Amino acid sequence: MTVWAFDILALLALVWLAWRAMTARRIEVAVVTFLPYGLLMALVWARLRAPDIAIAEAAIGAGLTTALLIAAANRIRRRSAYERAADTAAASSRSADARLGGWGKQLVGAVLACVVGGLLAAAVANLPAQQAGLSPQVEANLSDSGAGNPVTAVLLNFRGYDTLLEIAVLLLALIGVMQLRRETPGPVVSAEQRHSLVLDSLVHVIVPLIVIVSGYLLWRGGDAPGGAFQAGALLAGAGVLLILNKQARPAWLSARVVRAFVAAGLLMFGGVALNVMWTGRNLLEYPIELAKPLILAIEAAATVSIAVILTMLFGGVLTPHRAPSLQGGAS
Amino acid sequence: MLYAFGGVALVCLGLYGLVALEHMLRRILAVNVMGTGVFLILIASAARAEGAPDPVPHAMVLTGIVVAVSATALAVALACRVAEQEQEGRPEGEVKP
Amino acid sequence: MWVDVLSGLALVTGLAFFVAGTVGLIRFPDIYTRLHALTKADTLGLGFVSLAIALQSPSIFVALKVMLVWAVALAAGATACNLIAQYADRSGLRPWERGEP
Repeated sequence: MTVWAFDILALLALVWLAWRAMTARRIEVAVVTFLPYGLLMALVWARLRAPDIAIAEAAIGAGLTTALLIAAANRIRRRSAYERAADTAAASSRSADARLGGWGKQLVGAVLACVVGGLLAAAVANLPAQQAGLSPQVEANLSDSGAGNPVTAVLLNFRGYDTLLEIAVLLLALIGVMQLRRETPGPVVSAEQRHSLVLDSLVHVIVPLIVIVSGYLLWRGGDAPGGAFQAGALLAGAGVLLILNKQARPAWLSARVVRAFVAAGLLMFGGVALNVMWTGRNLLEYPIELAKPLILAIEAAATVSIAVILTMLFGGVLTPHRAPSLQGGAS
Repeated sequence: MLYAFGGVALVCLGLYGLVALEHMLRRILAVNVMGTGVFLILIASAARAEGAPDPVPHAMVLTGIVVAVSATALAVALACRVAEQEQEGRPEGEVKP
Repeated sequence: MWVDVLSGLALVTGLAFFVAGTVGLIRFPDIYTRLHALTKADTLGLGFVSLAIALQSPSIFVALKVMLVWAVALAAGATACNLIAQYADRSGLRPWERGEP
């Protein structure tokens, strides 16, 4: 009974927060609303017995996505003196129509949402009630996979392709964001933020703690919830803190070492995937006795790559300009 | 099973927002809401069986979350660039402090 | 048995603090008083809830981890509160005074 009450409350709150996150009058409020939405989502994942996803959602879905969106909202607002002037002068007249498009768009959106929603609801309602899915197969092969946590086994062994390509997607996104940086030195974006001693002391305590916890998550990920993604996302959180506290600079991406870190995950994963083919196996088919060390090596490299890439994605959105000192020959 | 229908509601909400909203960041938010709705449907259907839930959808959703954040980062960077270019395109006289 | 009673008591106390903090967040007039209500009442509430969970945990290590979570939340909450208040002060928001709406 009480569990049902929690389910219904959580879902109602999720839908309401989602609506607020899209349509709150001020864009800052909308963006910040995404944070409690993500955290509530993490609770729901825990309730649905998906602790791996809960950790990833709290770190990536709630934390990093919101940080990215806040940085973007700030950047768009900061550059638009025009919009700010209009905001204060005619806030009431603007706000009425600024959020939603014209009647046509609203109608099309509503019709589309109803059609897709109806089809999806019908599909969900027709799912067979009791089905184990693929879990018997996973459990049968778990002892050969080199990982005790079934989710890790699926991610890095049974469906290694997905994870390999996922790291490639991360790398592509980073390349895309970096291409969008501008050549001009531009103004110092964060001049208005002054140094905060309190934040400084928090960073001094919390960054080492995050490093320890992410190492723990990486190590435990073999047999318990956790793994490379959660550890990397957590480390990226530390990276975001360091950038905000000005102890790390996004311009460091130009450094060779950082680029090596960025590529390490994909190179390690791809290297292992190809190397097992020497002995006549298929792509990504690890020898059973070597599975555990290979998975651990891939995960360690992937953690570093994911952490650096996610941090740099945030840095690329936060500071849109290339550092003047590193510009060199760029015209 | 309740959660699967919640996921359907979130997908609908996100789809409506994606079409009907004007602001670029709001649209990116709408896509993210849609994504979490899809994840919710997947995980709720993985939890149907008694005992341990199916780990394959879990792994897929984990991958999906990471792909979603990288897509969001790229979209956000594009949106910022578009906004900046629009503002620079405006004649100077329009910009009032 | 008495552990259950104790953790139940801690849970109820924690919830009372959460309710007080939330009421303050909604009802208080300006950002400084809201921060006051939110950070103080909610961190104490979280402390009581963590205590309740720690009492129910199977081993001392789990209990210590839960308390570590509380300590980190304490530090992060205090820092966030300070940053928000500092920013509000710099952007010229004056604290509320008696008699104002």
